[in-house]
Amino acid sequence: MSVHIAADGLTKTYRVPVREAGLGAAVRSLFRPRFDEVQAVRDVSFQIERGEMVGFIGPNGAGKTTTLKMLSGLLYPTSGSVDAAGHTPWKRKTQYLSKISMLMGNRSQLQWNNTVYDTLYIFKEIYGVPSDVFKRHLAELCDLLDLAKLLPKRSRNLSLGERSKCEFALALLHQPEILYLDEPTLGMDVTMQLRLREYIREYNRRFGATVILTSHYMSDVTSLCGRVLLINGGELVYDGKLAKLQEMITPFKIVKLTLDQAELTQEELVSQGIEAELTERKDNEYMLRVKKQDAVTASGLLMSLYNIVDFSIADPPMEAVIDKIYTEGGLG
Amino acid sequence: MRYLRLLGTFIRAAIQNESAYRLNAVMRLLSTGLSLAGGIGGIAVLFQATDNLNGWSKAETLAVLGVYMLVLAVNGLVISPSLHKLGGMGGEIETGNFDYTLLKPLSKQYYISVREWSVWPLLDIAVSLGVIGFAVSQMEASLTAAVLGMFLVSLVIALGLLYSLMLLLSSVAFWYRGTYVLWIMGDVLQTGKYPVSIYPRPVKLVLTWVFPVGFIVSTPAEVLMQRAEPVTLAAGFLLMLVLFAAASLLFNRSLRKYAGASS
Repeated sequence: MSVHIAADGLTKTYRVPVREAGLGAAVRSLFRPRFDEVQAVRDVSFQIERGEMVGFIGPNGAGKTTTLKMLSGLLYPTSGSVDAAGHTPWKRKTQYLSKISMLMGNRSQLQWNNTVYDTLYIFKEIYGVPSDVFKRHLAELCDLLDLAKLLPKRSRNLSLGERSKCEFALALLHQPEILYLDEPTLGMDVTMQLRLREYIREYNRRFGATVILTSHYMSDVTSLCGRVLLINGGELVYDGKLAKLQEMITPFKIVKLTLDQAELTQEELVSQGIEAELTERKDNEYMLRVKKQDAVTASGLLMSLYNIVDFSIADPPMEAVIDKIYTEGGLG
Repeated sequence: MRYLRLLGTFIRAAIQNESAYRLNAVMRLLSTGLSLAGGIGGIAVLFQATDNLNGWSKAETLAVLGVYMLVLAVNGLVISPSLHKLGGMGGEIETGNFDYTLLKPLSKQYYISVREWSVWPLLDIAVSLGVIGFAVSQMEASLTAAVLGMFLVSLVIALGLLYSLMLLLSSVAFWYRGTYVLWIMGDVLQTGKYPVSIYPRPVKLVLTWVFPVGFIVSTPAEVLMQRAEPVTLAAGFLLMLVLFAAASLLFNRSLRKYAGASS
């Protein structure tokens, strides 16, 4: 595989207008505006290989979208460099813009009063897609997104889910080799989220596209991206496999068990020599937190000492891992 | 060639878009009728007591009104709908939708200038041509092919000036986050309803060199009446080139200022 996107020392500082509360301050700010400098991204460097699917994660205001916007060419960095598909994004060369697509979950490219087909046709012309290629791509998109019945409909008459599919079709029509996805499943129900993830995975598989994703829905990231870049306070604090991040942050397993009759207390666990922490109880159902290295021994002891009706052992949910990072502000 | 094809695509899309609003045709017809009645009424009032207004006869003033309506109609056909998408509340710069505009693999100036069309001003164009035709028929001078040719050249200069001014004003929105200043043009253009030479000298100077409404409306009318000096046209052409270069430069510099609606 070859490097498709390389960022080196990427930094972005915004100049943000500020003023105190109140009418007087508002009037004063008209004559003497004050600005603060906010460093949104600091010295971020990484490399992404062709065909990789990478997730940018981090709390609100961490710098994910700013980084994505610099990669796509929407923003000029304060310092640093990016080479994406052989181009410097913010020069916004036609050749680069023809190779990429950016999808923003909170924005729309659809023409409200036009049919979906007509809007796709305008995009065909804008991206200079030849007619025969347009026909082929459209057929592929209809197959991928089950789009055919939506083509003659006006965009304003589409449901939210249908609209999302069409936004996807617009973004993919010219078959971009780099796909920047900023909160692509924002506001969608679970079924639609699942389907959209399936489209992204399938597009990446079929066309070998590089996909960079930011999302607040951790399931988007966990189901699509093997690798994550964790950005916090504008700095890149982790770059690697998601599973490894999980292990670093939460080195324990979650044991769930349902007992027949007996009562289980923290004192009893200690007295029986079971290295586990009782975290939750509801009737006869218990949830325990066990260090990874103690999981096998603890499970064996529990099974031999108690009459167990139901038993499961799993990694903590990714949401809990991410919440721990966000609330503690990094990897500690 | 591709950009020419795209122009066709944008016009086609506008017609498709407008088909969603059938009542618009009636409303536009009403608006054109009202603006024509207002213009002619104003001229009738002005000429009640005199046959001559600072050297302009009734027919000549009517020709100015026709040119004013024509320039406004062409502006409403493409320049105004396209540039109005940028600034103001709900404009692309304010909402952040300009992100998508910036990512299109096209010249940004071309795209933001011609992407939106409104088909109804075609009605206004037809009416304004009727007004100009009527005014010319009332004048003593005959209309030759050479005059008509010069008139078309003066119209191109007028529209070039108008476009450049509007692009300059639209670019301000990038520096002051969506601030809408295009309204200034609407108000200033109103002054072009009557010949610029009827205004006091200071106003006339502003309307010739700062907001060149004189070049935009009065000069094409003067060309029709065979009153325009070639040097006036040449000055208008030069001013257009300077303003176009300045507007293009400012617009492309302004794109660097764009930071989106959110970080």
